Amino acid sequence: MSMDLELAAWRTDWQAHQPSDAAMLRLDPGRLVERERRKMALGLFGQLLFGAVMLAFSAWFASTRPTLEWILWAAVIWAGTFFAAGFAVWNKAGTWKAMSQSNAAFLDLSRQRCLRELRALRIGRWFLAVQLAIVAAWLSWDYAVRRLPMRPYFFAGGATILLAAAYLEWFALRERRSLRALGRLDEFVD
Amino acid sequence: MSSVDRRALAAQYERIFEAHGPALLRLTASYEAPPQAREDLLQEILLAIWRALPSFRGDCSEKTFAFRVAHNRCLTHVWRRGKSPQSEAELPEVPDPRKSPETLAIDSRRRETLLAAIRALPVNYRQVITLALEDMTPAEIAAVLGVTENNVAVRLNRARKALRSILEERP
Repeated sequence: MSMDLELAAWRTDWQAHQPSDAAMLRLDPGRLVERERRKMALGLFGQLLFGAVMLAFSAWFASTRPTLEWILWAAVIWAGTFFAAGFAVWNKAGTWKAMSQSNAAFLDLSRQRCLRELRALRIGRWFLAVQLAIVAAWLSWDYAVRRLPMRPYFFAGGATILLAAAYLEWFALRERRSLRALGRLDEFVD
Repeated sequence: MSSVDRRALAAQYERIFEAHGPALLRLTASYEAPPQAREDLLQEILLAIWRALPSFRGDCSEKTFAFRVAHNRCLTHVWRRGKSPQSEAELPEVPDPRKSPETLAIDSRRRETLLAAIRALPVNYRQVITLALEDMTPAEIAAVLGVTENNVAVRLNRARKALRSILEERP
């Protein structure tokens, strides 16, 4: 078989596949929010698991160095982890299921989820600032008392903060873009 | 965005899906075999096109635009999934009532084999062959994938060779 005939035969077979139902070629907000729900559940599970690991690690670390400094450090980690986990659960409350099975309700739910993510982002920025303040105070004290080399801490801390800030900003852009797209969908879907 | 703009956007979106919806569904079938996963990927593509539509300035055809967004979405999908597609379920076909049941079964088997063989190709070959099977010219394929026409010709040649070899192994 010549090359072109071969490609033509494949093309005929390939294009014989047609959708059995034209409705499957339309945007289905119900399916989108269900997929978002699965992602949300997985994300929350990941966050809680990470929190549990942080709690266990800090408890173990402080128990092997039972000084005031490390007990205080573990207490700060525990407080931060409980706050973050509690906020994550609370922030998602009411956004797991749509109020009804209509496209408008699905879009509204999707919009609610974006708004909640943006709220989490605002809190995330504050949380990052508080962490930064604690770490800066801690390192300054450490430096004053023990004269530890500041440079490696400075670079590691700076890089971590820059990465976290960049991630938060990227996330905010993504959520705002989703909100705009959802706003445009309103008129189209219903 | 004004209500008129939104309606124009919705009309453009409808036009794209009427013209290229079936082709986009076939594209998802080259990445996912189970119907549920395929439909999820199609929904991701539909939403991605909807999101990208306001930034479409008409610097290429709507077909090129739709396939460019769809291929980018499929690449993200492959990257997230991180494993080869399964190959149990197949795409629906519209049977030709003039053919006998035996001929229909043979045709169907051949198409399933082709689909499975396309799924077995590496992603860069799969991209180029699926676009060629949708009657796209090398220039259009190059515009979708963001590569040169020479590169498309080389890739298509290799993809055909690889596809032929897989099909010969699966009679």
